[in-house]
Amino acid sequence: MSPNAAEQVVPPAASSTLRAERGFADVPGVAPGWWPVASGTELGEDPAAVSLGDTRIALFRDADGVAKGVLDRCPHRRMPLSLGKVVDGGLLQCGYHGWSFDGAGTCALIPNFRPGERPSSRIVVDAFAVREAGGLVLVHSRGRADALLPPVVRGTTATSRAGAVASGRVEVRAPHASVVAAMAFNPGRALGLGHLLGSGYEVVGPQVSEGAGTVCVLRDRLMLDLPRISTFDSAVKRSVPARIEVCPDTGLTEVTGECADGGRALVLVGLTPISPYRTVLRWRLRVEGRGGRALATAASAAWKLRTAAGRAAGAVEAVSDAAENINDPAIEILRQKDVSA
Amino acid sequence: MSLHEPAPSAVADPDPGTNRSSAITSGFRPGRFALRDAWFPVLHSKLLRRRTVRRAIHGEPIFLSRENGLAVAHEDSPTDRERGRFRRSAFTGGSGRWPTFERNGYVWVWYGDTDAASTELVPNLPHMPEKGMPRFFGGNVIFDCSYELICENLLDLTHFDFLHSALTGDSLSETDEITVTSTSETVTQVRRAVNRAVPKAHRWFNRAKSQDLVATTLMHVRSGVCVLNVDWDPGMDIYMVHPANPESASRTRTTYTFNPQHCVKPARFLFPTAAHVVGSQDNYATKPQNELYQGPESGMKDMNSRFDAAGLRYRKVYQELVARQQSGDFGYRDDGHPGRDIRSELNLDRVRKDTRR
Repeated sequence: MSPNAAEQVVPPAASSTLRAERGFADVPGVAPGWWPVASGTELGEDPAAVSLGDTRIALFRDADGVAKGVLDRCPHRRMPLSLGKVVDGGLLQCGYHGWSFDGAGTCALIPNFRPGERPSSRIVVDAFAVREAGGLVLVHSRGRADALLPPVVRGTTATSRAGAVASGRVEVRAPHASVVAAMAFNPGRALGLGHLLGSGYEVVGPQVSEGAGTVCVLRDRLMLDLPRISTFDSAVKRSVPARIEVCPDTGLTEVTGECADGGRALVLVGLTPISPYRTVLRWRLRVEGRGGRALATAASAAWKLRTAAGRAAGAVEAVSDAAENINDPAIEILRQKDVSA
Repeated sequence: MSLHEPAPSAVADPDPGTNRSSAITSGFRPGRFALRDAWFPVLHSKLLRRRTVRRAIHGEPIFLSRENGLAVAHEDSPTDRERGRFRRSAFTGGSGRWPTFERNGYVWVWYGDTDAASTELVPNLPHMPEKGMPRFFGGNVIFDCSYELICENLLDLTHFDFLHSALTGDSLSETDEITVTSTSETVTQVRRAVNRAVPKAHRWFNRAKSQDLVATTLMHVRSGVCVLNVDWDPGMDIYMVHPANPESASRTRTTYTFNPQHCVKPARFLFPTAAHVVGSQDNYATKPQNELYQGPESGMKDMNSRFDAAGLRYRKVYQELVARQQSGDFGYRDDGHPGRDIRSELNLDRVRKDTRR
């Protein structure tokens, strides 16, 4: 028997040349910039389906482990490519007919083809500019792979292991702009990290400044968000100073809280709008200093409990609602910049 | 939907500026148009006993029961009828009773103009006994998609080699010829492959090193009734009826029947159970596909390879039928008469190499 179907892969050079001619695709409906769409840990050996605005993206890792993203719809019969698998050579293979695409969106393999036979160069799927930084997978909404990364993730890498790490993800029923405002206003209360970032009444601040591409807020909040009995002072008086840096275009936020023993907690928050009233929030905490591992483990366990109890989103939604009508200079600047545009 | 309502804008009318292939692929809008004036095998006769069974065609409810041993189909449930509630839509000519007919082990229901409901238009199933197969050889598989996608799936050969290779065999063979023919109502695909590897699931009862395959698929586009003869030689010859009853735009019921030939007894009884394995594999693909074909980007163009000839022919015949029905032509042309003799089209008289025959 002589096989009439052999797997022929287009050499990488051909596909990258084609990509250079075609360019990466835009993500309509969201502001220009690098948008977080997944955390690095969400993307393993199997492809992952993510959304950014109305656009569905299939993320996968190529043969070198580099994150790639293509439109989550096979151009052949519209099966979501994220339901397929990554095959040898780092190609994303559709689960229906086996059409396989590289990270540039070029069809490199069609089963049943004769040895040496190549798929037509017209068979392509939209590919997106993808980069990984700060433990997040980012997609550029205007296809600019060479664009500068946001200041809050610049210089950090997903593989950074300094300090103890915890992370979480939740889908929030609130518009993206409201969740950005919540992060600028009281991230400790929204994420249940009051012991690291402060979540109660604000005792000093806020001091707001605008940097290169970011809005920076310094706040000092009581550690716990406890009810106060009439005119008496709060029972727990310890306050936590925190520095909040927000990228107004995408809402990517970094919060740095000072721990009691000189250590510090860094939380990177990625916000992905998936519809006008739905936002996916991903956070990654790194605690440096003594007792960091215990603090990170406790934060992770508490988040998992709150998620299991269905209360993780509720806290973010509550702070988002509160931030919508509040008179705060940082939120006012963000409103003027209109992050939801 | 009333019989006399204008048909939803769907297919046909490709933009004059687009080429033919583009119009076929971009004009395919599953679940948007209800093709009518056809018989649908809604239920296996043996499953209709004392209790009323509910089915649907294009969203219209059908309540099946037996009266004096005869199958009858009402538009209303027994409870509604007791309460004096009657729909009496145009589909039943105002009588509240669907035209019904029993043959080949199926209860057939006519969906369309009752005056045109001739039993001569019931699809001919020459490879099935007149009274149907024993109950074990039939069943129901539900797909979460519109029936057009299931019809296209049945005519799609490359997904068999890729998705169902354990049961139907892989794509490796000495020669592999595919011919596609069509009429105004049907699409027929014949695949002749020589020296294929015996599929994994057949190996425990078939010790041949290789086998030939002649797979014939005849699709009645209007009703979604698919008639198959999959002949592995040496090996099994599976006669099959694979209806795709359009219950709604996101639900298709397949009232399948197998009639396995030339195989040892355990395999004869085991093979019909494969329908649910294959069905779940197909539903894995067609369920998310349905959403993308019916969503806001439903008019986009699909890419094709040369293996998609049968599927494209199906889309073409389907769109021509929709265009005809949109213009008020619901009749059958001579070339596509569903009751015609299809023995030769199905290759039922083919001489097998298998000596057991």
